Amino acid sequence: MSKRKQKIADAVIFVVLLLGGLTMLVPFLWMVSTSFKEPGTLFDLPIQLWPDKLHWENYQRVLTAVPFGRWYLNSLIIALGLTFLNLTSGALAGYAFARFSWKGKDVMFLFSLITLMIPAHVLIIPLFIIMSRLGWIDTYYALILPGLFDAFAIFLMRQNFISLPRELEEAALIDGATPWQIYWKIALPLAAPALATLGTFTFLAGWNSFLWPLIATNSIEMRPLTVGLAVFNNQFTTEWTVLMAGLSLATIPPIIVFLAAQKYFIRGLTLGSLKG
Amino acid sequence: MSSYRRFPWLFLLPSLVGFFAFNAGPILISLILSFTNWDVFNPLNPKAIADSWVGLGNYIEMWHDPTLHKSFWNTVYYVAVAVPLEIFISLMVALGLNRDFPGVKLVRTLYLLPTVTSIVAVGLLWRWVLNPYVGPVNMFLRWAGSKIEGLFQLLHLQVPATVHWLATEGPGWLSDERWAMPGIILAAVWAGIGFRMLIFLAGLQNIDKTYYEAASLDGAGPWQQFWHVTLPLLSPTVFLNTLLALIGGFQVFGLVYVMTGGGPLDATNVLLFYLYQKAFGIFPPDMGYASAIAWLLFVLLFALTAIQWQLRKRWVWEEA
Amino acid sequence: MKRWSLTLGALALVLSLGLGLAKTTKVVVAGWGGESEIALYNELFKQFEATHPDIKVEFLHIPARDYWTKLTAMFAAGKAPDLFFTNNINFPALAAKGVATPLEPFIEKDNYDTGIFYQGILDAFKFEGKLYALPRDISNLVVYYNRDMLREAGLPDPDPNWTWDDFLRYAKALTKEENGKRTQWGVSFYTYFLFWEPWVWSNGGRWYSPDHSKFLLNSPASVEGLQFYVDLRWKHHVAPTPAEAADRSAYSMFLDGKTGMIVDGRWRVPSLKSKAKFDWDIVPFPRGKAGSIVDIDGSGWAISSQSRNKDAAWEVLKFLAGPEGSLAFTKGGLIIPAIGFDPKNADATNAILKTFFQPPPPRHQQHFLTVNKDAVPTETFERWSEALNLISKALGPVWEGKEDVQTALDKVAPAVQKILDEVQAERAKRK
Repeated sequence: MSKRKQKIADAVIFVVLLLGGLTMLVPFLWMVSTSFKEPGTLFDLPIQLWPDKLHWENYQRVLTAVPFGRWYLNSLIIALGLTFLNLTSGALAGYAFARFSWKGKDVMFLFSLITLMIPAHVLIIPLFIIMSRLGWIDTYYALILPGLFDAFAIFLMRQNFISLPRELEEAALIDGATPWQIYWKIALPLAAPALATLGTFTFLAGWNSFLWPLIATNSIEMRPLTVGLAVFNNQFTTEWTVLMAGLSLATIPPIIVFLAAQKYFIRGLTLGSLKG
Repeated sequence: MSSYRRFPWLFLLPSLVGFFAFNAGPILISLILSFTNWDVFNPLNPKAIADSWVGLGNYIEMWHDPTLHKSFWNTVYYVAVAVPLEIFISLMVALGLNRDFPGVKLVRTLYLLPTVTSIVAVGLLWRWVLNPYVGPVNMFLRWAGSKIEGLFQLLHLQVPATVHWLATEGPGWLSDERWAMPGIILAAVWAGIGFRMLIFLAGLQNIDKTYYEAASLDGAGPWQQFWHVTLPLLSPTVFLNTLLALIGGFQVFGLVYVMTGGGPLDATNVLLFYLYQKAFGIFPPDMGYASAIAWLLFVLLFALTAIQWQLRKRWVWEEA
Repeated sequence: MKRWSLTLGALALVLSLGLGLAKTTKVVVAGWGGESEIALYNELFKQFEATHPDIKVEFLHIPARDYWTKLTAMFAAGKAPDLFFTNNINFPALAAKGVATPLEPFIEKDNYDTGIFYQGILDAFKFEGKLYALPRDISNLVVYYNRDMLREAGLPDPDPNWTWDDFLRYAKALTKEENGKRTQWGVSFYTYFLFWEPWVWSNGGRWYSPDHSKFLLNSPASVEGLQFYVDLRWKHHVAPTPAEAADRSAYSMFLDGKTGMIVDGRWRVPSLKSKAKFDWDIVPFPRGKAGSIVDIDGSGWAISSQSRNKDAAWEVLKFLAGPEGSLAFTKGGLIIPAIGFDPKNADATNAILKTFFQPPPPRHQQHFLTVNKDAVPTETFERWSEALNLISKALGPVWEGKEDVQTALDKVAPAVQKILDEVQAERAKRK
């Protein structure tokens, strides 16, 4: 293929992907625009993509009528806490499954996947009972510590370590490095893109989680945003404009996290340069 | 490289603690509950379990429950169509976005927006998009149909019934039993692309550029490069993504909940939605039956995963 | 000496503080509501604590849509709140599980007068002869109508005693067509059970026999009533079809002036007051063969069986459901209070009524109270929600105009009857 042809093909691909991406923007825009509509406007069809007049009072209300700042902070603490635990334990275990071998490894790995296969809906009440025996209901422990084990994280990291080239690790082994040193100094830095991906996912999952925090918190002050904002979604009526104002503000951290994580998606990680 | 041949205590410790503290217990309890018709308002203790023990009762009931059978086949239908589509499209998008051009970060972020947007907004919007009467999809189909119909008439040909149907009516997305599931699939695939794409992108970072350089020197075109370099080297990620997509597909829930509520006539009632109905949708809840559905789902997924696990050595690079 | 007395004094202080703390009992009250209701609860509890220094009350707010999920988990862990808010629809299922405490012993002990509450809503909170909750509010349905639209069509305000025929006549006159396409409809169309059961009752039909032993929704009177409702959409075409509604909600079509009437509840008043761009009012549901019968449902608080402070909980319950609590919640503006005028408590009950009657619209808001005379509670029972799921599913094609009411309900009848039979057996076992 000639350079020219290649360029045209690239341009076509880019336009198609951009158009596809723009469709992803529509519900987001609708959510944001609803947050600027006159209070009392229904979140209803047909969609009206832009309000006649910007109504900031929805934001004013969501920021003052409820402990929005506290909820935001809780969400951050929970999402960051979960991300930290998940990255730490997931990467460690993923490396173990990728580079170590022991009797019963496969069985153990499949067992860990079980946790992905049983719907959380039936686990939540038993977990609540355990947490309340521990006296951890309505504390951050109950909200964060379950992130210590996550089969998704282990699986993702295992696959990532498997697909990493082994040459560097082998060289270090010959130089007398311990597995622990190799993990810290060589494997983990190379896993940056996977860690960034996993971090994004865990942060998102923690940030969006609803059912467990709903069950595990009692006081209004301990709630994350998702559960807190449900106060606007009531028995007979929903304050859509206020709810959407809250939800729009809630999209900021995940977007920042994702943009930051992209630093690690630079194509062309070359072994050559590392080898010097 | 030969693996270290020992049990990596230090590496596994945090996960093991987490598993035994917060996962093993609830999983075991849910298994036990699936053999009971435990009344959720009774504090859970050995006596409550003994009093409500029904043995295989819930599993036998499942065998005879037509709604469960329907939701089972609906789920299979969903997985069979949505998972391949999701994997294929997200792989293509990831390949397209795995390059450096101005604005690429922004475009990637666009694909992740459905995951940060309120699912109610996503679901409601799709209901409108797919509305058979006023939604843009059918507006377009009717427009296209009428043009084709016009062409047939111009050529004095018999207009095929499907073309006429397309021009005047179009699919009854979400409201017609036959078209409800395709509607859900469309929305779910669309919303799920970003997530899968991100996993593929991370996998693509691990592919050494020198392979491409070598392949290119050997005269391989882009297609051959994809087939002989990218795909094999990406296969661990493809394996991961496929398995996760399967597990996720069998547990599809959110958009069904918002878009159709399992209807019309259970046409989109999937296993997890049915489970949710039993656990939280009816009053009083039937947690025993819900747990039994969960374990049925588990057996299905476990069997599928175990098969894939065995097969992986045949096609996943570095696993052999 | 001085030092001694100081020490003793301090000791006494500590002791009395300790004893004082030990004597305080904590009562946790679970409920749902918006942020104004949370504030309302907290304000009420402050008032209560001022007169009851030995009781500390804590409000456990749970989002409305996920209320039961959370509450069930708490019961399962043996950590249920002392008082919990419930509606009468879910109530029999709860009572049958022994989750609530019968109130009779407390009522007798205090010689408490339950006569201040509407009888209909008290009945709704009785299970197998015992009362389990004191009500806070009631909900019922009236017809909201767009006065501007009526005037345009040359129609007078409907008479409070109007009939189904009148209703249909109004709906027809309010329906408009342009180029063979409907552009305006007489009445908005809901498919949720709350909105169609009045058509069954007012025609003399029922869901179930009074003891819930027989399914009667497919009996002639019930079917005829429901079919009349369905015909509004599919035969007379005075209500929008799904195609015409195109995912717009029934209420938004009324609010946008697309439909002239809507059968709806009191909770629409605040929204209509602030958003409606037309003159509107309310009128009772039209009279059918059996009269004008809408639902009287509602909610209230029950003492949980897991509560360790039932006596204190009863004190809180009396306060919340009594005149002070009722007045506060009525001020909130969303509810119809469950306390009507009571000559024995003329001043207190009058104050509640005065608060309820806010400046119009609607001009004829007394109808929210007058309709309660003939209203009946929804025919809920222990496994109501399961049966409702089946029935709602069966009616799906009916709302789409693909099946008639009789066929659909006959098809589902055996499955519902099976549930009823099982309930009868369970009841016999309990006795």
